[in-house]
Amino acid sequence: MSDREALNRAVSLAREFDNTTPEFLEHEFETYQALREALPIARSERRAAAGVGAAWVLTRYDDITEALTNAADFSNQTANYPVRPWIPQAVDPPAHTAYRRILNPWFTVDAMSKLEPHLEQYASELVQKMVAKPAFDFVADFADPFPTVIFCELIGFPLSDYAQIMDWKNMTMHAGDGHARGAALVRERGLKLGLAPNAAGGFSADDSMKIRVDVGREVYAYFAKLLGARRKEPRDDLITKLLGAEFEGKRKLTQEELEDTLFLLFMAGLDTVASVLGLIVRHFALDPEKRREFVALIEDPERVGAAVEELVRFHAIVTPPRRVTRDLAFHGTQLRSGDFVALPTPAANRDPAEFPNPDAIEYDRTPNRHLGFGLGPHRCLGIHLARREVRIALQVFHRALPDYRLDPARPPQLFGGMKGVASLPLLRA
Amino acid sequence: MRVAIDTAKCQGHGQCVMTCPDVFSADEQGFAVVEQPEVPASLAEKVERAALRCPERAVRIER
Repeated sequence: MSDREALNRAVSLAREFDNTTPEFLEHEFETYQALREALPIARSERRAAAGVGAAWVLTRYDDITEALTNAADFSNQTANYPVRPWIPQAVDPPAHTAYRRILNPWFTVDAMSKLEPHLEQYASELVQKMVAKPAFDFVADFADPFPTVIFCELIGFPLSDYAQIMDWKNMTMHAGDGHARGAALVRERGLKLGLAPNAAGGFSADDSMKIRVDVGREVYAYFAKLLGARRKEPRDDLITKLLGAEFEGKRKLTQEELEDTLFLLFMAGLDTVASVLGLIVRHFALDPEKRREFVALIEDPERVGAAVEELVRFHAIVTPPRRVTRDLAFHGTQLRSGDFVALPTPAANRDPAEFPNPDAIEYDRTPNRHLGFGLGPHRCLGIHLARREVRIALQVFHRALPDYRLDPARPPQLFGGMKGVASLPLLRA
Repeated sequence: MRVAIDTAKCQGHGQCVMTCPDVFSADEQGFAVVEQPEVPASLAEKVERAALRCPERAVRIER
């Protein structure tokens, strides 16, 4: 292909770029590669990232790291929030730094290492139950409940509310990304609110927002109830700790700040590990050689950590959006104040300029400065928990069942956006 | 070999702490702290690996 043809192709890919559909995943990395080579800062007129309309799509590792670490020019105040902006994700420094100082100590390496025996024990319990079944769904039976239940315990959400919490999460995160359960729940809620679905079965942007607001208010009311209960009767959980926290050591958090923080924890904590686990195990079901190579090293403490990092590089899921705060010449492209940029970490993690042979899983890859957990001030708060959960889940599962394959009668259900696997039925190989 | 953390860059990814816990630890906020700025030869390779793994490029090695 000539340069001119490559550029024309990239321009049309960019115009139609929408990574929030499951169809996008069929040509995800070809698209990112074509954009990176011909048009590394590309204009999309559609949905470049969840919650954002037209945006600049960045695909080079260096450009994405620059935007993620430059919070002054690339602000996190982006989306239409159903109730209020989330804390600390939607807040910029310096206030962001003060909120993170409250949350960081509860998620350090040391704090999370203490959880390991419990993680192992709970993962084993779920896996034993799952593999005893004649047929099972890796996501529904393990990848969803494992991190979700651990997270509910940490935060202090009653486990009896598990189904309700999952429904809220699916309506908030998966209204229009091909997630069947999310779409069905949103449709039901829309009809209940007296809204009319369009021909495709979805809702207009305005009506979708009404649904998100309705669900958001319900979740906030639930938080208010839990905060009230912990004020009366403190427990050993994050809700109680938040009630005692001080902003810059000067004042307690307001009721709104408490709710906005819980909402962010709820959004960030419930989906990510499940999605990454689903993508990794689906990949392993299709690639037995890579799976065997991984199973051979899971008991090697020197190698398993780096191998998990490599799998997270390969199966990064998040496309953080940012809002440009001033007119800015950025590597040859003029960005305007108020423009949105989408920063697909899956694209950064496959840039050959940073990762030689980027489309191969190399378990000992060094260096491996991948962006699977983000970068800069907003890098994943739960990184040390997430890493341990992914490693322990993969170890425990593969000890119990090293050989498996997809169920040809029930193919996996993928969703786009903050991508993942909604359903992954497996058979013993 | 001497090693230092650029505290303006460190965001607490924890890669250095996991790669070489004899030299790096985490403070109560989860940011990296150097316990042994003078790196003994026996740990030099691990410290180099820690620097290579830091996503924020916050581990600075001086020779």
